[in-house]
Formats: sequence, C-alpha cells, structure tokens
Amino acid sequence: MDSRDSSVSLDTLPDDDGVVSVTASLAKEASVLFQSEKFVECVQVLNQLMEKKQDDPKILHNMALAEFFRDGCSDPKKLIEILVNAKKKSEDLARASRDHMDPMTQTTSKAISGAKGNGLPNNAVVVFADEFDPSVAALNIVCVVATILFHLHEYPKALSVLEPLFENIEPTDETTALHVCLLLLDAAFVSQDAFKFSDVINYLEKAFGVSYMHHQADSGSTAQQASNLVAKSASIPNNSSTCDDLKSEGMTSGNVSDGSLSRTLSDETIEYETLLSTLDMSGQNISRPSNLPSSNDLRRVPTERSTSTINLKLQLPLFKIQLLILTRNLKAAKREVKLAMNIARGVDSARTLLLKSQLECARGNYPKALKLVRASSSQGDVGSSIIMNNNMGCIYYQQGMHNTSSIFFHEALSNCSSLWKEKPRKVSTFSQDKSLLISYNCGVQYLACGKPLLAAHFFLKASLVFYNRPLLWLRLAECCLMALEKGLLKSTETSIRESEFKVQVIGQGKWRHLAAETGSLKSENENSDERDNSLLHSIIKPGLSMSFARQCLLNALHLLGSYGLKHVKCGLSTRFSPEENELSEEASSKASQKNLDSSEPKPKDMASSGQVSANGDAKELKGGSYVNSAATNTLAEYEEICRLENLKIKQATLIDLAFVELELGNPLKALARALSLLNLPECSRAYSFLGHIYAAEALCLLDRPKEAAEHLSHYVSSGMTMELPYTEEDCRQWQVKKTMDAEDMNTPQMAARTQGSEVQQDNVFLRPEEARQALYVNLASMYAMQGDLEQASRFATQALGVAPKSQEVAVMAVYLDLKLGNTQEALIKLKRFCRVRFLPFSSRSKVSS
Amino acid sequence: MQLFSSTVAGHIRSLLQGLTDSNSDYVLQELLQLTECGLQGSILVLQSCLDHINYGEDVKNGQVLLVVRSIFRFFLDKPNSTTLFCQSLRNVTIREGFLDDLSNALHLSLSEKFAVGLALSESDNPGTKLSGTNFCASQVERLFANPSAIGSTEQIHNIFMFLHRSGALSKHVDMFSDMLSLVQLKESIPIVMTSLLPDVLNDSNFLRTMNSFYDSDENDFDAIVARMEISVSDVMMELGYGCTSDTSKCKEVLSIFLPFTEVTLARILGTVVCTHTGLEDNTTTLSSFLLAIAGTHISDLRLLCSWDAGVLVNSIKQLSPETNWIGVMENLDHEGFYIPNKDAFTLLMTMYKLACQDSFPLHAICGSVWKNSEGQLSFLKYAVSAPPDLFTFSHSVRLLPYADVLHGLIFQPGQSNYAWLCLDLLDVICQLAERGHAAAIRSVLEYPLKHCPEVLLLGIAEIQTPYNLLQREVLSTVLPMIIADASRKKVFLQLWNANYYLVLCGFMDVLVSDSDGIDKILDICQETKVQLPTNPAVGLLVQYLLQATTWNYLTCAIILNSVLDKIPFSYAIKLAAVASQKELLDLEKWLSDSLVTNKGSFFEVFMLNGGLSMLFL
Repeated sequence: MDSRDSSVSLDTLPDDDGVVSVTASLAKEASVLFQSEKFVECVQVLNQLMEKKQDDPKILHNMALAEFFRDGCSDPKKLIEILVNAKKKSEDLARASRDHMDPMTQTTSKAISGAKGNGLPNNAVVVFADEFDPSVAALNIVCVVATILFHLHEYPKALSVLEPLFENIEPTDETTALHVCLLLLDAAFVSQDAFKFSDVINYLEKAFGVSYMHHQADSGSTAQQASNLVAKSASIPNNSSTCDDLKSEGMTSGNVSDGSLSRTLSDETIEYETLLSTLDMSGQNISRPSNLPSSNDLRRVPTERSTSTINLKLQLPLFKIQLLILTRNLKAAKREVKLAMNIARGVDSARTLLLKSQLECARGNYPKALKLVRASSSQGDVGSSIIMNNNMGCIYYQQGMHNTSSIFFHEALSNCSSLWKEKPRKVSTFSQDKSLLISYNCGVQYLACGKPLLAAHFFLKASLVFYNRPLLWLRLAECCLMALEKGLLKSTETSIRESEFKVQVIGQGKWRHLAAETGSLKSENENSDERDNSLLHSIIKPGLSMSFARQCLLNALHLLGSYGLKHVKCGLSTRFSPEENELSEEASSKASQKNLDSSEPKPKDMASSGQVSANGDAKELKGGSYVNSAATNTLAEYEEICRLENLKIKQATLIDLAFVELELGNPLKALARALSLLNLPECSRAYSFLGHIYAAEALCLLDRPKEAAEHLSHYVSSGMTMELPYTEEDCRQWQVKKTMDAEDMNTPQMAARTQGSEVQQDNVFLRPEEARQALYVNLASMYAMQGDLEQASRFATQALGVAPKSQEVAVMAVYLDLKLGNTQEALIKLKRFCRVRFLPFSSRSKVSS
Repeated sequence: MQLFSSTVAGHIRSLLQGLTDSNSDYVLQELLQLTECGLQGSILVLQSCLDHINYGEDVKNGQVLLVVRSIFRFFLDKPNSTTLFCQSLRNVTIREGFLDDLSNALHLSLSEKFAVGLALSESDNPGTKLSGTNFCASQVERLFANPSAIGSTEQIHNIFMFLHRSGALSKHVDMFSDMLSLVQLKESIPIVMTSLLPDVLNDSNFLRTMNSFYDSDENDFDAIVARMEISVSDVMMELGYGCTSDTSKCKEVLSIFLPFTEVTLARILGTVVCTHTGLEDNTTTLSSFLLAIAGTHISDLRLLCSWDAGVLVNSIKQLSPETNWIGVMENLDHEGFYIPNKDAFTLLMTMYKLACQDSFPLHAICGSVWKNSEGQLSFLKYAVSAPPDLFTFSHSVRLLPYADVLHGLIFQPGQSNYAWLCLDLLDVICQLAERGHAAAIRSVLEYPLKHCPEVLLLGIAEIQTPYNLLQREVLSTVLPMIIADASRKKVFLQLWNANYYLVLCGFMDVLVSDSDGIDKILDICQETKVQLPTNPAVGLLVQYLLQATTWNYLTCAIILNSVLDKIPFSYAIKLAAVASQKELLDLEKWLSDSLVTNKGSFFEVFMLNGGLSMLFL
C-alpha cells in the first residue's frame, strides 16, 4: 500500500524534471524498503524526501505509516492524527491547485496507472485515474484512516468517514471503490445498520456485475433460481409472524409454547446475535484482503484473492447471509447458507461455518451451532480461538446457561490479553483483540447472573465501542438499579426498604425498652457492610449511583431520540432484568396512592390493537407485489422490528427514569417521565401499570392526592373488585419469538431445553397477581392517608387475602387495626406476619442515633 | 399534616426574622436540619427563604443573604433540585427579570445560575418553564466564554441535554466540545459525556473522543479479567446431573476450576443439595460442553435423575486430596445455601460421610448465626429431627449438664440424636428467633414442645439473648404445664438453678393470668424446696415467697425492699400490699420512699392500679 503511495508521490511532481527524477528514485527506494518491511530505513529515505518536498500530504502519509510500522503499531491514535492533518493539507493543496492543475491531470493519471501496472500487484489501495492528485492522496488518507478506525473498533467514526466516500463513489476507480464498499460493509454490519449494509450490497451487485442472479447462474439453473425467489417471498410473511412478538397475543396456546423462551432470554438473544455477528465479521476482517493498512498481513494472503471479482462473487452471498441474519430473516438466510456452502467450497469456509453456526444459534438449534463454531476454528490461532470462545459463550448464554457462558468469555478475554503480549504488534492485533466487544457480552452475562458491579465494569469498557447504542446505557442504568436493590450503593435520598423490622433492645428487666430504627437514623446494616467490603473494594469501584443511572438513562433517551430522526437502526432489543420486579415492589411499598370513585377500568386501552393492525398492513404489502426483491421485504420487516425494539427500549428507559427520579426524591421529573411513558402510543400494559403506579406515587409526594387517585382508579372497577392490571399474555408479549421450524432439528430435546430455561428465568414483571396486590396496598394506604379508615381496611383485607405472606400488606393491615383501635387484632396479625429482628443495643447505633 | 407544615413554616419565618450576626450559624444549622425531614421539609425551607427574599423588608440584611445563599447552594447540589425549586415557586408568579434579580441579590455564580435555570426549565408550569429556559439561554454564551465555571460532569451533562431540548445544540455543539476539553473531568466517567457528541471527521472533537483504550501498552483489562468470577456450582447446575455420571467426566468438568477453595467446595455441595431433584436431565448439554471445552467426544452418558454423591465426592477427593472438609462445612454459610427437604439433608450428610470420617463439625452450624440465616434454619430444621445414624448432636461440647432430673427425660421420644440437649443449638435457635425467624422456629419447636417439653425448657433456660424472646415463649408454654402437673415438678429445682431470672418471669406471667397465682407458686416453691440462690439480688422474689410462707419475718424484711425494686411497679405494689398484710413491711414508708425515688412513673402506675384501695384487697 505504501509503495502505491510512494508511486503516487513520484508522479505528482511534474514541475521540474530534475526534482522528479530524484524524488522518484527516493520514492521508489522507500517503497521497496517498505515492502520488505525495513521500516527504519524506509523512514530515513522518506525523511530525505521530506526535505525535498515539504508538506506534501502523500509523503506525510507515507511517513506516518512507515513510522507507525517501525514503532510496532504502538500508537494508532497518533497515526490518525497525522493523517487527518495530512488530509487537511491535501485539501488545501487541492483548493489551491484546482485551477492550474487541470491540464496535468491526464498525464498524471497515466503515469499512475503505469506505475501500478509496473508490478505492485498486491497494492490494496488505490489509484484514482480521474481525480486530482491531492484529492487522490486525500482519498487514500481517508481510506487508511477509516481502516485504522475500524481496526480500533471505532465503528461509528469509521462509518462517518466512509459514508461520504460511498455517497460519492461513482468517480472513484474500481479497486478503491471495492475497498471502500467492503470496509463500509463491515462497519455498517458492526453498527447494525442493515440499511446501509443492503445499500452497499446492492451497489456491489450493480457495479461489479456479481448480482444475485448472476451468481445463481454459476451454480445452477436460473429458472430454478427464480422459483426459489418466489418461494422465498411467499414465505416471508409466515416467517415474520413467528418473529414478531406482538403476534403472541393472538396465538393459540400451542404456538405460544413454541416461543417459550422467556423474554429476558430471548431479548438477550438478539443482543448476542448482534455481537456474535459483530465478532464474526471483524474476525473475517483479519483475513479479508480488503483491509488496506494491514499490509503486513496482506502479504501473506495469496495475491489472487485480493481484489478480484471472482472473490467478490464468493463473498457476496456471505454478505447477503449476514444481512439476512441481521434482519432476522432466518428462513431466507438458511437457504442462502445452503447455497453458499455449495458454491464456496473450500474458500473462506471458516467464515461460512461461523455464519451457519450463527444462523443455527438464532434458530435455537444450539448443539448444531456449537458444532459449527468448533468446526470453524480449525486453524487454532489466537484470533480465531477468541472468536470461537466468544461465540460459544454466546450460544451457552442463549440456552440460559449464563454461568457456563462466562467460562468461555473468560477464555476469550484471556486469549485477547495473550494477543497483546505478542511482539511485535501488528495492526491486526488491534482488530483481533475483541476484548471491548466481549466486554459487552460479559456485562450482559454478569447482569443476568446478578452481579451488577462486575457487569458495570464490563459495560463501561464496552462503552468505548458501543457508546452510541441506547441499550448500553440502559444496561448500565440497570446495573445501578440492581446494585441499589442488592444494597451495594451508598444510599441516596431515601433509604432502601427492608423486609424486616429491626428493633434494638435497651436495658433489662423492667427497664427494658425497645427502640425501632427509623429510616434516617438507621445504622448500617452489617450485611451490606460486608458486601461492600468484599465487592466494592475488591474491584475498582465503577462509581455507580442513582445520579449516574439517571445520566445513563438520559443518554439512552437522547440516543433513541436521534435514532427516531434518522431511519431506525440498531437491532438491539431490550431485556428487562429482574430489577423491574423490584421496581414495582418498591412502588408498592413506598407508594401511598389514591383511589377515586371507582371509574371504569380500561383494560383494553393499550395500544396493542393498533400495533397488530399496523403489523397486519405491513404484511399485506409484503404478501403482495414485491416478488422480485426479497431484500426489500426483509428490510421493511426489519425496520418494523427495529421500531418495536426501540419502542421497548424507550419504555424501559422511561420507566427506569421515573423510578430513578423517585429514588432521587425528584417526584416532579418522575411524574413527567411516567406521563410520557403513558402517552406513548403503543405502551405495553405491564409498563403502563408501572407508569400509573409511579405517577401516582409522584403525585402523592407532590401533595396532589386527587390526581394520584385518578391513576390508581384505572384499575378499580365498580366497588371493591379489581381486575388484574395486566395478564400473563401482556408480559409474554415481551418475549421475542424464535423461529423454530421443526424440519431438521432434534426437536423434542430442544423443546425440553427451552422450557427448562423458561422456568429458570424469572419473569421480568411482577406477576399480575402481585401487581394487583400492590394496587390493593396502595389503595389502602391512600385511603388511610385521607382518613377513610374503613375503606382502607377493606382494601387491606383484600390484599391480605391475595398475599397473606407479604410483609407490606401485613404492616398496612396492622397499622389500620391500630388506627381503628383493634389492638388485639393487630397483635394477632403481628405475631403471625411480622419478622421483627431484635438487636442488642450497640454503641455504634448509640452514636448514630 | 397541614398543621405540621404551617407550624414548620412559621418556625422557619421566625428563624429568618430573628437572624442576627451572632446566631446565623445556628439558624443555618436549624434550617439544614429541617431539610432532613424529606421532601416536604426541604420545600418548606426553600419556599420560606424565597418568600423572605421576595417580600422581606430586610433584604439588605447581609446575614439573611448569606444564610439564604448557603441554603440555595445546598439545594442546588441536590439531585432533585428540579422538584425542590419548582415546588417552592409553584405559588409565585414569576415576573420577568425575577431570576436575574434573584441571582444578583444572592450573588450566584455562573454555574449556580445555570443550575437554577436548568431546574426551572423542567417545570410543568409553562410560565416557570419559559423563564427558566430563557434564563439559561441568556447564560449560555457567558458560560462558553468561561468554561471553567462549570462544576461537575453532571452539570455539563444537564447543559447538554438542555441545549438539545431547546434545539440550540447544533448551534453550540462546537463550543460545547471545546468546553468539554477545557474542563478538567476529574470524575470517573467522562464517557457519559463524550458519547453524546456527533462523529464528524475534522472536527476537533473527533480525535479527542477517540477511545484511549489502546493508548498504552498495559491496560487494566488483565486486572478485570483476573477478577472475573465464574461460579463452579452454578455451572454444574446448568450442566445438569450428567456431570456426576462418572468420575472421569466429573473430574474433567471440575478440573477447569482448579484449585478449589473451601468456599468453592461448600458452594458446590450447597448447589448439589439444593438441586438434588428437579433439574431436567440433558446429556447432550454435557457432552457438547465437554466437546467444547476439552475436545472430548462422549457417547455413553448414563441418564441420571439426581446427582451421584459418590462420584462427585470421589472426583473432588482425587482432584484435591488435601481438602479440609471441616473447613468446607464451615463455609456452608453462603448466599443461596438452602436445604429444601429431608432428602436433600440426607444427601448432604451422605456426601460428608463419604468425604470425611470425622464427626460433623457442629460449630459450623450452631456456632453462630449465619449471614444466610434462612439457610441455617433450613439445615437445623432437618438436623434436629434426623435419626441419630444420619446426624447427631451427641458429640457437642455443650450438652445440657446431666442431672438426676434428666434421668428418664432423655429417653423421651425425639431425644435419640441429642438435639434438645445441645446448648449450642438452643443458643443459635434463640438468636435466630430474635433475628426475624420466630415463626419458623416455632414450627421447629412444635415437636419438642409436645414430646419433651421439660428438656427443652431446661435447655433453653441456659440461654441468654438480648430479648429472651424464645425463652419466654417456651417458658410460658411449659411452666404452666409443670405447675399444673405434679409429676413434672421435679424439674423445677434444676430450672431454678439454671435461670432463676427466667423463672421469675414465668412467675410473673402466672401472676398476671391466674388469680391464684401467688398461692400456686408458693406451693411449688415449698414442695420442691428450692434452695436460695447464691446471688441474692435475683432470686429474691422466690426467696421472699418462701420466707413469707414460713413467716420468717426477719429474712423477709431484709430482702423485701430489694425484691420490690426488681419487679414492675404494679406487681411490686401488689406484693407490698400482701407483705404489709403479713406485717412484713411498713407500707407507708415504702410508698413514700418509692415516690421519692421513682417519682412520676411510680405514681402513675400506682394510680392506674386503683391507688390505695387495692392495697387493702
């Protein structure tokens, strides 16, 4: 690559013959030195060149690269800095020379092609026959920058660099265009930008004549192909219906059990797929010839694989599979994989296997997926074992075996760190090191295992790459919430409720007194102290707090908002972890709500109907006329999937925010958040229940009990009866359906497994019964606050009937008994329900009180 | 509620009005203390301060301004400043320039001004919101000119969100990123900020926000990786019973996690016990795992429906022959340990016996209350009812001292494993009862209460806890039985010797519930010839009662006063009355002395009990 650049610089000095010859020979020398990896000498030569021709962006560029390699690829950031500066200079040059350079262009370009023909066949980049020199250099530089960024896992930045190039790709020469496209494909894929991805594929098909049909023709009869396509488009609606979680409402019970992975798991699935593919992708990159600056590696790759359309012909189907998996059109993907396996026999088989494994994983056929992953990494080098281990971790995670998956993630991370210890470092080291990506997986896994602090560590690491994904920020906030639940956070405004009362025993005999601890004076509970010590101090504290959670959630919301403006991207879906349970529990214990005159319940006012119909419309369209382009359908469906997923993330974010604001003692904002959740057009019933509860609590805190009562009264029908605020179905809506076609997998086994994991996973929301019980408690406390003790105790009795073991209910009932003067009744309840903990009066608590 | 808030508001007003140079610190402290009463208190304080500034005549009073300013700053740092400020100003119509005047009057810094503006800009009152927004917008330029004025990352974050909300972000984004670079972000997570800025090449921001992960050769990743926790026991649970299908496979799985610590092994045992039934068995899971981890192909896995304890223990012993199994048992106290049923308990004991010849280390389970007290309780529940060949307490170092009275009793049913003779067990049970497990403990005690109440009472009488909750409960159940049943009275002496204080309490219960209580107690004391305890201060009541029956005036008179001192007033009065009837006590003198020493509380009880009338029953 560098030699190419030197050759470019050689040709760009047409003004003075003498100078040309000197610089030309120097440039050639530098190029040869670079090729033979003598970077020190190369830099020396380039220095001489530099003296001759200062500020030439090409020389700057070459110099930067040579120095970079000389220093063992130690400072990619500096390289980018230099290159960005060089680019600026070349742009200035271009502007300055635009007028008088015109006549020279022709000759220059000829010279360039000559140089190219002269025997630098494996130059990855790039000669631009029809551009000004300075801009050629600029283009080169930009490509290199993009590639380095890609290697550094700075995908959004790489995308932002590449996109302008792609938009203006027509004038660039074929080879460069191809490289730009391939790089863009990778970057778009990692960034989950299916639309960009498919744009690029379309362009490649058109521009390089390796269209799908063309490629089919290679493999067999076109006619058969055509019928294939028809079949495909016909099958899409079915497929989409199975993917579409919203359909679950209307499904028969049999179908429901089909998608029986609990939501937590299956959402994670998506996330994992994502990363899995991420890893696959960038894994491929290592050996992909399209990677410009890894020229060190490049040389090892057989030259004929570098830039030929033959190769592209083999790769394009793989990209298509990626696209189909990304857009979750698994049926079509499966078909493509079969074809690809036939065509690409022997070439890039590892990549094909990985893709196939990913597909099987997405389809829920884990044993097969595992086998394929293993088969894919036969070479056994570090890079591929990183990928293998991570993918195995993902597959185990998806089976609900979270702890087992951590073995593999750990292995993968260890591989990564061993990679760093290898010297000399190469560019590929950066891209082979997937630790930042694996970090995200680790974070998710630890969150699922209930270890929020470790999880937060990993998420923070992963944020270096995924900082523009709303889901990452939501996860970080979840870490905070889980840490709060587990008592790992230093308490904020309000202290966490305990499920037991602590009573200090002071004095003895007749002088004995009991002292109940109140919130603000509460002495540190010893348990949490110890946990603090073992966890907080054993790892560097990630600085979790409720305020941090708020910031994260705001980020998520902000990012979601900006996604809404562009077309929907990002295939990450939300997983709601058990803390949601805690949230509403929290609400129920904390809240003191109001009941209105029992107005009508609006069980059907959720937006689900709207969703379904919208969905149906979309399907009709799909079923209709787009026979010729399965991709269009897929994309349209994918857009819908993304929209729904973003909606889920948004709901989760808003409800979390409402909770966090309540926790921070900021009811005004909590109310605003809860209301904006309730105003979402397609808010799930379970979330809207929480929304109402939080809103009511916020209103109570703001001394607006009447309005609070309105929120609670949503659920009270006439008199005392109350319907379940939502059903199991509503919770299940959140589970993403798996496409499980029964044809080839060992189905009975699979079914057993999935059911098992469903049992394992705890549901995201409160069970509807618990939710109703929370409502009873809230209503009771609301009446108690208003002084209507009779009504309050009726609700309390109801609640006791529903949940005889609940501490909150018992406390509420006892309080009401005492208020009503039924001391005996209260005593009986206390004896039956209350968990009082007697502690000796200690000096520490003396100090604190 | 209303009353309270108006009282507080009045208090705050008077504090502010009475503010002088000398008491300003005190006033400030008072006000800050009020803010600890939660949201309402804080709002009241802030509201009163604002009102005072708004309408107060003494705005010129420098002290008031200082105090109000401190209060202001205090609230501005709170995460809930939005609610605080909006609520405090909800009854105030904000005229134009109000915020300017306010911030000028209070000499607010730029950052503080911004904080006030930001807080108000999120109000739900459109007027307030507008003035807050405008105020912020008017400060933006100045802020960018002087970025060091910004306090914290959180505030920067808020400003960013504000700019975004108000649509002014695109205009200011460059300045914003400049500011970001100038501000020293000392706080831990600046990434929260950097992620918000768009990626545009050539933007000065582009490079700055590039992650620094690769900047240095060493990164802290190794440190984190080293701390990754993999829970062996959970992995085993996920892999299923197949892990223990034979020793070689079991060793293969376990060897991933070598070396074992006692904690790890305890967790493995805990998990195995907890999941001894109910895991779905799936041999493919294990075989594919072994394939993945070690490349071993396995075809013949035997289908298990529970863990094979023998295989597991043998594998562990082979992999880690030096294991200290007592130490393992000492680590059973961990999160998640729970014995769900009798079979699980049997499994645990079987594994222990396979692993180790020593008798079970009782101190591990009844040495102290566990952190996981539920787990401990579940263990004890099955341990106390286990047959002696499975589990026994007979080797406890603290068994109930053997005495004649016990003869015969220990052969009552339920005694074969010596559970209720083990004082450590009783001790820990009493403590557990006071740690919130009273209900569960009651059910554990049902059996001994029915079958060997005396032994239980004798044992439990040896235990002292802060509240003596369980002791009292057992006593109140068993003592009436003893008193009622002549054949059981022989226990009494030992009980008395063990814990006369407890017996006193029991007597007190009898006195309360039974009008003939005194006589019955006197009877029992006489019959069993209770010896006078060596410690006179405690056994005085019985001593008195005994003496009273023998009309040993002299002894009675000496000790009576101290007796009366030890028991609650109401009984003391009653007793004193009886004593005076028996001419043991000068009632008048005692009453006046008591009134002098105990004052009001004594008088109260005295009057409650019907005054002097009751003295002459």
